Amino acid sequence: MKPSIWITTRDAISNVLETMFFLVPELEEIQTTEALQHKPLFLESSITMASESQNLRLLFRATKGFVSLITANFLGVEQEEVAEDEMEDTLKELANMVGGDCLARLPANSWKLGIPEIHQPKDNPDDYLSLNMYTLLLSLDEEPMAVIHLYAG
Amino acid sequence: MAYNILIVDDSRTMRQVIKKALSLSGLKVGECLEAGNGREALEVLANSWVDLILSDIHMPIMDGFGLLQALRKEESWNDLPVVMITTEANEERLKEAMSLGARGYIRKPFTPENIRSFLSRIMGERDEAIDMDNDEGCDF
Repeated sequence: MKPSIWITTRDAISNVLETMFFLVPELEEIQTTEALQHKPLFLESSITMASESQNLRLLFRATKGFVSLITANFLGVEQEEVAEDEMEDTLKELANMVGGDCLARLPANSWKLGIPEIHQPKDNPDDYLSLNMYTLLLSLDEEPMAVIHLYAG
Repeated sequence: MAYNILIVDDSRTMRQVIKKALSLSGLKVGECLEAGNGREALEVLANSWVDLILSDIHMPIMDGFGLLQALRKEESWNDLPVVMITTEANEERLKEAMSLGARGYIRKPFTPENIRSFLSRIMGERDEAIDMDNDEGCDF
């Protein structure tokens, strides 16, 4: 059975992308990142969600097209106008808002949200799949744009 | 009356987004001032007239709780309305912010409409209180 936090994570991703970034994503649970094989990942952001019994990390790994699109929509500018630091900041905020929205949907009040971090993506897109995790493929108009992982750690 | 609003958030991008949401909200906004943490906010307050503070909770150097505590200590600032704009989900932490003087909180993600309805109420209450204070002792 999937943990309730995973189910609420899906809802939180949809809500945040729709409310703050004006996007309606398609989310599909996947076992491999094959769909993103020909799309180099550009940036990663992550945030921890900790309770007394669990320590989870929510990780967003995105293509440049996705990060520049959400940044442009977030700031209300053209995609060509966004700067690299704005893209990093936006992907970090995405993790922060999804983590916060997810915890706000949970009945228990004991979760603590960490500070969002930004990382360069690992070379091998399947590196994270060895961890015991849930993975979602995020697509826009059937085009794969990002993967989102939730794992203990 | 246009309100001068101080936006306190460690993310420059989020400050821009809040500024944009304010401009779309229909609220009468005068000057929008910015600070990256609580300490910077206190520096801005020392040099500028501010009607309302919108502050994040989680920030480096001085967080939203530190800012609320500092405002309470300073007589000229302790009536200044502060609204937290935050991803904080823990009700206990939000109650703590309210007990330190925050007038309320807006959860991220937010829409310009969330901001408008919440701030209209907060500033409406403040303006009514000011009008009542001004009426006291007037002899027309």
